[in-house]
Amino acid sequence: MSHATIPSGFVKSALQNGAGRYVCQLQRLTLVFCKSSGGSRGLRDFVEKHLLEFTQKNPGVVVYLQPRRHRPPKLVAEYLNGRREEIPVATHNDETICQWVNHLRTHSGNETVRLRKTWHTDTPSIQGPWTPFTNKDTRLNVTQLPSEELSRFQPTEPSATEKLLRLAEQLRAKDAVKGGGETGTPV
Amino acid sequence: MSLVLRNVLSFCARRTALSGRLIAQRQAIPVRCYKKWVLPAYRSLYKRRLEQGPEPERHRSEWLNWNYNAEVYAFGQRVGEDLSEATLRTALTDRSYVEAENEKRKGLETEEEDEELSLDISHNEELSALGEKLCNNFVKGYLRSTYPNLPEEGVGAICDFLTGDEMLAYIGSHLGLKDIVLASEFPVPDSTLSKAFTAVIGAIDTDQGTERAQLFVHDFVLTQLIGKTLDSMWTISNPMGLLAGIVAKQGMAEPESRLLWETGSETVVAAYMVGIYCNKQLIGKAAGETVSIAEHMAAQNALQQFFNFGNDAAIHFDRHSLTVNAERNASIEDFVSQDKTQTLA
Repeated sequence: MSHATIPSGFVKSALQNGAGRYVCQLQRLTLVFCKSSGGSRGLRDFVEKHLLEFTQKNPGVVVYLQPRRHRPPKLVAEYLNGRREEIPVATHNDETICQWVNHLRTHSGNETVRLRKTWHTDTPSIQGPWTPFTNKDTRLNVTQLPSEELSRFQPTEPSATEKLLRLAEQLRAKDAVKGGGETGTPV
Repeated sequence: MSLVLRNVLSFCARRTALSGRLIAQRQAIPVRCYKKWVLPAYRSLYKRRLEQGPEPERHRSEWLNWNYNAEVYAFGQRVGEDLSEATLRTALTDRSYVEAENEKRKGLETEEEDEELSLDISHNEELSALGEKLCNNFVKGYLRSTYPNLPEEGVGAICDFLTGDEMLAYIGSHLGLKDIVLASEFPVPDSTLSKAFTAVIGAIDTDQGTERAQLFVHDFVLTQLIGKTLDSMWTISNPMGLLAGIVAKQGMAEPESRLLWETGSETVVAAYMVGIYCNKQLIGKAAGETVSIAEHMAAQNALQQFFNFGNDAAIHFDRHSLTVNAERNASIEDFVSQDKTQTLA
């Protein structure tokens, strides 16, 4: 797929989160698993070993356990902005599931898109919107046109004569340092 | 293969498929044909789906995985406040819910006639009034101390923007209030959500004290100012007239607007830059697509500089020094007509 068709966006925060205090954006987490089938083994292990610790550390997240017979296990996360995400975790072990849960917990809930820039600012320009007059000298306003000064040719590079003169000046300066006041032949 | 033979074979194959397991052991010739019913069937389903319209929004509690007690507890923990369950439940109960429940219970018959069936729960009107007052006072006081040069009208406009139903409902729903507010209407209207949010502020005030409630308002309401400009919240109808009044009050000459630059006039990309001068000093400038727009914008720019509310006047949200100024800022009338110090005294 080309970049034109993949949804893209900018870094954004939910409700200016963190400017005042941080609020975990994960609202509920539902663990769907089967009590008997092998694919759900990892999720069952997660429930036994890690779930209590997770709920103690994150009292703001409501965790639901939903046993469903002979269905593939999944994690369903619901965020404060109303979006929900599902992660299928069949045949994953409990450590991988821990990582997925951590991913869901730290997520803002916004859609995962290709980021066009890795930074964001609310004030992209300090000078304000550009106009044709930005950084123009107001003196130009009262100049009578055509003006002789503005019409003069303005070279971008020094001319050959200027280069030679500059070289001569450098040599003279060197000689003055070497000679230390002795009278030498003028260059 | 002749056409006749092919027809016979396909007929046999269909018979094989129909007669099921009994003749399954016989080797069946697979049917390779274009299923003509598939596309019309899907088309019909699609059309029916469109005719039905979108699914109606349903309350989250209609799903199996829902525990109201857990949700309410999690809300308190999420916003980082230690609230008692009773206060929090009161804050989340709208008056409409209590009335609707009582109405429902009136129709029910009881065996014992003395038994009262009406619901004995309190609603959030009182807490909401308390929280709204606190929220308004704190936002105004904070703005006054942050922008001492901003007229009281501007303070009021920003406060209205921040504490309006729309904004509070937005904040509340992003904290998870939408699912746990008890109201008779669904989807919950903005006014109910905003009332529940102010009731939560009131609940924090009752349970944990005013300072904590102010911190809550600071963290969730005031931070919505980030990235907002003054003119998006406060519309000054005649900025040039106001500027003239302010300048006259300060004993300066009448403001003059001068065309600084112009380009592309009589084209679709015309641009004019107007500067406003006062005592030969440039006090504001802006560009616009017509001269009158540019002059209007330049006057607004000059006013923002007078009020010290430009793009760079951002609030540095410092939680450790919440300064509140209860004294009103000077109003526009004070700026224009009389001496500011006299009116304040």
